[in-house]
Amino acid sequence: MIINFNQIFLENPTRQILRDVSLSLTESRIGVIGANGSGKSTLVRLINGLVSPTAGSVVVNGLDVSQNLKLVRQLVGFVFQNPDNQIVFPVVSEDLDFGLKPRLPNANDRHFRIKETLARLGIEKLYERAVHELSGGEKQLVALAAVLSLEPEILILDEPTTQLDLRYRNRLMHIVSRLKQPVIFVTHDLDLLQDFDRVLVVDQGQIVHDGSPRQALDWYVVHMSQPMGQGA
Amino acid sequence: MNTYKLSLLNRLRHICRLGLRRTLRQVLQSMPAGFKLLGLIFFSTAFILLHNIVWLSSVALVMVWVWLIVRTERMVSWQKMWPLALSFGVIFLYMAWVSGLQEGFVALFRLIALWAAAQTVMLTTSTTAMMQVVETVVTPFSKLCRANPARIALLFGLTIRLMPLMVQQWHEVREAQQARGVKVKAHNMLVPMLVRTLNRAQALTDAIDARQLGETVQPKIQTHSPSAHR
Repeated sequence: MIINFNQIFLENPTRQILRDVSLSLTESRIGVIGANGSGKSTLVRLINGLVSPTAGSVVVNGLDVSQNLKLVRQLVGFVFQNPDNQIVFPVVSEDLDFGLKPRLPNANDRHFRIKETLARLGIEKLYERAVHELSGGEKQLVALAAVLSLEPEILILDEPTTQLDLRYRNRLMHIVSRLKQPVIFVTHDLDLLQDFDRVLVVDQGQIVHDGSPRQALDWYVVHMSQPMGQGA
Repeated sequence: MNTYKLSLLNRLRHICRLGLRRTLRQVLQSMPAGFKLLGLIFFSTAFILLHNIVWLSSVALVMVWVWLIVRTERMVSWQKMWPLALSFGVIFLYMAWVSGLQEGFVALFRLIALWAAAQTVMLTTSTTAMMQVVETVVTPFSKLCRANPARIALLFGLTIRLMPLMVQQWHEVREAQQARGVKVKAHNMLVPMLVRTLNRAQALTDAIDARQLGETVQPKIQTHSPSAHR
């Protein structure tokens, strides 16, 4: 994986969201942490073109996102914070099946892929379940399965554990740790990034720290843990 | 009748009901979606033309019975049914007041029968199958209207998916307002419901775009990807 951010600026009419961000991401496990409104989610959304920069470019494995959006989105899987906003069909198998249709025209192939993906995540029993009956943790695993079934080359998870209890959070992290794809993980939870290769700290639209998990987390705790309204 | 015979009879009834439920459900589920939807259209049209109150009430009763049989839930929840019952009641009272009691009952039985028939079709047809029908129907008109049949079918599936979410959202907003001591009225609910719905729509759009749902997908190409795999 190579993801290059080249002098990214992103602003809206009221504020600057990202300022002069230049990065090259090559590691297998990359964490992104930052306060609310720091720009961390916007940063990762640039990767699959959900957001376009005001200036600069993002290149994913040699593909400029702005010019190869469809191809990039085939490579990059994205899991969002709220699973209810990701699962678009009322039954689990239907949701995964619809996403696979363009890639696997054969129904048997799709059925096999869906079963295999659900089994890999330990949720094969949810195959015929109605989505609205599932718990939050089960829904998030289904959302992850829907993305993994497409076999993306890169996986981005944007605060996927926010709505999960401890049990499902640990289960999700165990699944993530076993994934073969490179993973970019956005979170508030510092504990989740201990085993990651690299951690970026985002604050007010800039990368304020970039290093090993230990260094980044120490920096984050020292500089970001003060209550709002108090100086550094 | 002694207790033993009564319990045996109940057991037999239970087995028959279970057998009938499974059989009826299997028969309805195995029917093609297009056939069921077409049948629903013909049934609805024929029912609108029917005016005999005895026939209407009989058909309504049969359709409700079929609906009760194919449901997976055992009990009918009054909490879920009361808005529907209220709507039917209002329509019945209005028709009875305007056109007489008989017309009121005609309207009521029509509504009940059509609702039960539609519910039966919904319960025995997968969303994917219904979407396939929608896509098949829309495809001949797609060039005329410049519409993407897959996207229209997706819209159909989304509508079904969002219904329980909107109900849940309504309850959450109502509970939040009750917790704040605000009287729950329609105009108090409007803004939070609208804001949350718009936010959800945006989030859903992002998710659909990210998964490329309803789009044609180009063949995967080999990209410049030095291995960062574990």
